[in-house]
Amino acid sequence: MAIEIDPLFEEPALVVSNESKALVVADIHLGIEWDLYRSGFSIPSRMKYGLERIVAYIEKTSPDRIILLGDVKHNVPRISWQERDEIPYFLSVLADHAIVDIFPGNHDGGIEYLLPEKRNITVHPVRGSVIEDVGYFHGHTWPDPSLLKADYIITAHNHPTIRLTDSLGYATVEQIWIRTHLNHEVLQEHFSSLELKKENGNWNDPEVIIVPSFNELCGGIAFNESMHDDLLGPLFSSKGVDIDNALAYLLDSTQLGKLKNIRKLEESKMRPSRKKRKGIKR
Amino acid sequence: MSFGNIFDFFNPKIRDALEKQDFKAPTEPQEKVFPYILKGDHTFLIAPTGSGKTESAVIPIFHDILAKTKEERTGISALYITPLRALNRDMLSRIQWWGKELGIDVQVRHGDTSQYQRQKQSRKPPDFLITTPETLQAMFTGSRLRKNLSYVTHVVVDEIHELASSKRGTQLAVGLERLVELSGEFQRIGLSATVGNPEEVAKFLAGTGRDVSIVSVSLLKLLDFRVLCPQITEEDVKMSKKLACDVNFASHIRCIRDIVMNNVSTLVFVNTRQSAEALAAGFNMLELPVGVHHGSLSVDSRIEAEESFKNGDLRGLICTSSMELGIDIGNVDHVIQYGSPRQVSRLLQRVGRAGHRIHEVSRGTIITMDADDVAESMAICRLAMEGRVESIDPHMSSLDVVANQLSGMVLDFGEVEIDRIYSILTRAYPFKDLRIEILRKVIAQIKDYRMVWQEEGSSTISRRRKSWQYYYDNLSMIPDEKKYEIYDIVTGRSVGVLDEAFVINFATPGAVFITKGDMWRVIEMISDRNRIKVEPVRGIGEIPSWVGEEIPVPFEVAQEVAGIRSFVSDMVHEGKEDNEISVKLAEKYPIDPESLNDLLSILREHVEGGHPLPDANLFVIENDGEAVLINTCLGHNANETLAKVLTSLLAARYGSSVAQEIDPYRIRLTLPRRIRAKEIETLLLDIKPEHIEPIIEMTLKNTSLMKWKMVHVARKFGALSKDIDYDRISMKKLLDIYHDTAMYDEVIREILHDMLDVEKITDILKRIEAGEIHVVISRSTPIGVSGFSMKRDLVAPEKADRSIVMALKERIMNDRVILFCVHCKKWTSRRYVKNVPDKIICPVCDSGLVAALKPWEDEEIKLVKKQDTVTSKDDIKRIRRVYRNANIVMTHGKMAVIALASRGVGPEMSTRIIRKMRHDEEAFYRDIMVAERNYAKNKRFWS
Repeated sequence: MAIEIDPLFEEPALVVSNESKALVVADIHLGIEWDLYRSGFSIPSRMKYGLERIVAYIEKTSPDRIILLGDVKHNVPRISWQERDEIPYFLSVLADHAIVDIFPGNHDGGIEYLLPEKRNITVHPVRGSVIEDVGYFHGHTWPDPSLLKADYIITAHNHPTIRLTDSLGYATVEQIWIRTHLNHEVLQEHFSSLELKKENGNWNDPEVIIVPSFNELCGGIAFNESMHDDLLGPLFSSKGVDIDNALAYLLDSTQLGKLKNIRKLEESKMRPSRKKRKGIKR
Repeated sequence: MSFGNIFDFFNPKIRDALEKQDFKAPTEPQEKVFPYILKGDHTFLIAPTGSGKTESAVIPIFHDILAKTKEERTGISALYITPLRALNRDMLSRIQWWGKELGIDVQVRHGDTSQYQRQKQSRKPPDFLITTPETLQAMFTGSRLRKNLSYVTHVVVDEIHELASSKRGTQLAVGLERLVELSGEFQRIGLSATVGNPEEVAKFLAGTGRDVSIVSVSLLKLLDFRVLCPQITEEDVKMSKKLACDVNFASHIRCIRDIVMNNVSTLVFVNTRQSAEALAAGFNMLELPVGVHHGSLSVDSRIEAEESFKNGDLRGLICTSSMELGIDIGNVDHVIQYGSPRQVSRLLQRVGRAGHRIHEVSRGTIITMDADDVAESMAICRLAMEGRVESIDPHMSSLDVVANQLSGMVLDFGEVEIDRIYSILTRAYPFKDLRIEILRKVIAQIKDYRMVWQEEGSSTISRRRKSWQYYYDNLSMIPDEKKYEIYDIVTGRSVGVLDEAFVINFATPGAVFITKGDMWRVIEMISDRNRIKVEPVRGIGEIPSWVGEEIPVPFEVAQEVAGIRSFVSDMVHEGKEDNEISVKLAEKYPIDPESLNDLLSILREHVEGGHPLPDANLFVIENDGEAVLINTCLGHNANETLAKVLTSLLAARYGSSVAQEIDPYRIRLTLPRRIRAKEIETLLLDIKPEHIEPIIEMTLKNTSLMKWKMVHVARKFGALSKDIDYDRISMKKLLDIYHDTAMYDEVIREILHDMLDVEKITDILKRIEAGEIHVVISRSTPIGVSGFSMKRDLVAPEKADRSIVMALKERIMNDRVILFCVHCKKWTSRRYVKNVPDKIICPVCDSGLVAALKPWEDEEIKLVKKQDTVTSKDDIKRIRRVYRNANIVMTHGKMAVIALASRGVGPEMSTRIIRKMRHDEEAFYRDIMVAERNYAKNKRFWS
């Protein structure tokens, strides 16, 4: 059966259909309000609102499993009272609908203590695993080498966005999906004990899909303004992912083309300043 | 002894003191106001500065204090509340003299009062305490102080005109009602400068349900104004070289110098701190005895400047509005206003500082900088002479003040009924119309922020830990504006400061901005150290700059300027020469002919050049490069409103940001694309007056103004703390989250109150509809381009899809197509869309019948080539599609290639997109974007 991967229209969520159907959501960051509170912003908890959104996705797509692609929670190293209060409830509601697979992210330390008493929740290894020929990992580590033989690798962590600045200086920031490939050379260097080759069955040149952040309070990284060193995670910072030729899509499906071309667009927008006019005093 | 006047009525001790001071008779305000105050009336006194106003209030209060028993004098008998700390120092020396004579303990308490003094005051309270509104707020929290305050029988609010127009005053109005809860009713006395609406300000003092007597003393002093526009001389050229400054600026320095040296002591008022510093630097280099005094200087240097001016070491003192209020700096015989005073009340206040003795003429000179400034100053002088002073517009039902005072009241009472709070609030004039549901909405919100505690469904609220912390951090309603240091990482030096308002709106890592003429890119923001690391960048763009809040020029002043324009224009039409016009103008306005040169030359050039004259009944729209300029003499707030309405409509139409700049006489709109005057005219004529208010409310959330104000208000609501890290969350998201809260409503209310005039613009549009005001288009005009000092805001569209459309266009240009000649079937060419010529001709057979295929459609080419042998229905269909494709390309050229290269768009959809009527290319790409989106929505998200 062919793998079909389709984002939901105008939502930061993805449906992967193979033998079974999986709903993928990343970077929920439950408990971020507590952190913002400590940074001076008082915002009432938005957990219920987020849960309603995901339940709506579930109702729309009827998945067999729900894949939470990391950073389910937010505060590290201390778990806030808000998370202790909200996360077990949140997960148990999801588990009422389908199997839940958690791929822990860098914010998920201690998540195992916050699981509700339900049997159908699995916490996967940090470096990810393959489910029905699709590799999943959060993105803050190198992937497990087993992921390299999958057809697809789905990851998150970077909260991809695009920032388009017009000539008046107004910047519009939109969340994006990224579709790209790995740099074989970089991966080979890292996994030097392996010989990554199609013929060896350990390398399938997987397509990489980067999922935008579900929580809209987190900022993101503007991929069109970032070079590799701004991107997070060793796989990205060591140029293991081809960013230049990555395709960017808005959540409403508008394809913006390759990032290298979008970057050029930025520069061409600068216009000459208007002429100095009579009467202007400096 | 007997004075033979009202002085005889006073306590003998007071009479002795009056005699010692050699006061023989009361001044006019004293004579008029004493009877009311002595009767115990709430009294509102309007009198000019230096007319013995302070004593008018204080002497009768001392009289009452002397009549009290010892027990009645256990606590504080009278509060004297003034808006400025600096004021207290002088007041103290004057009033303390009286206190000493009369055995009345007079003390001062404000933010700078030492801990030791404060403790002494709470243990042994003075009879008469001079303080500020904010210190009163702080005093409510001490148990001993509360006891002392419970003896209050008299409260004086000095400079009430200053307080009544700000949130400080709104807070004070509630503060006074909280005081009533402690002390019972007390007598209120308000002292004010001339205002346009004395009845309302009097009610503001008294609160609802209390009668108040108004005593108004007209200007005893004669006022003498002169408008001067310096003409450049030889000397100015030399001086400009010496000072390394602009020659115009040198001429201003010279004029100020001449006035200062011809008088004994001159105050020089400026509108901004920057001009204060620039002038001070100039005089410093010229080694002239002119000092500087403004709010950012240390207390010591301010006192030093005041003292040197008082004792004559300094003959001139450059100052900002901090000197408007009655700080005693000795005799002033002349006042210079540098630049237009903007408002009649400011002119009166400032010039009123001269000739501080009764029956003395106050002389003032306005030094102007350009034609607008000259006309505006003339207009203001004339309105001043006619006594048309601006009205005070209090902040009514201001919800951040409610939030602030709620936390104060839970501290006052511990636990308190919401109904009781409601009755206290509504006794204060600014909250007379507050609805209880609104109060509940505010309570619900601050409960979320842990500022008060309320059991579910309870009718009371009580204090909690954060109430204290919040209240002490927010004793004042004056917003805390942080300043950010701009630190250049290349040179390792500080290159200036940025306002928090700018940081909130524009400064994110990567953002480029201009300061001091250089461009910088933000590298990193270090919020906790109030620092922004930048690097210099090259390349020029139109970058937002920010002018903070300004004193707005009122509609009436701008209309008077329009009147001056019409007057001059009529005379030019009649063939009158400049000198004749000057003489005529000098009859109506206090200006000498020479100073009219700039104004007359621009107006003459304008009129004789056949340009339509923008005045009270004519709006002139002109193209200004890529931008459009609208000449409208409506003042700051009305122009800001009209500009916001237009920008909002344009932003929606083009899905792009719009920059607006306004001054009292012009609006300038800039888009990332070109716009034309004609379009603005149509837009202006199409707006329905009744749509103004909804448009404004919808658009405000997309303005930089809104974000900035939200930070101030949210802090007063306790939603944001003093130090916040702007990196953490975007203001746009925060605004979304805070939408539908009381806090959000307050931001809108405040902006409508301070910076907009919806009513006026609604009226103006009705007058346009009725044909009373005309709108015309003109080529660039002399009046139009003479504008300066524009105030800028950037309005974002609801959905900024223009930038996305531009990116989409770029993507398609970088997509590949296969061009294939279906005529000869011999030519195929793979290329980028951007390299496709406008008209496509097959180089082999010269035919125009060339199909533009997607890069993976090689199969179609094969099919066309062997079309004679093809039998399958599907294949025949595919071949037909290729021919249709080629037909569209032949008819529409490159446009068809672009449409056909987009995702999920076949020949049919392409034809539909191409045939649609539209006025520009952007709209074409926007249609492609919509078509692609629909395809994705209905078929596959990505192929």
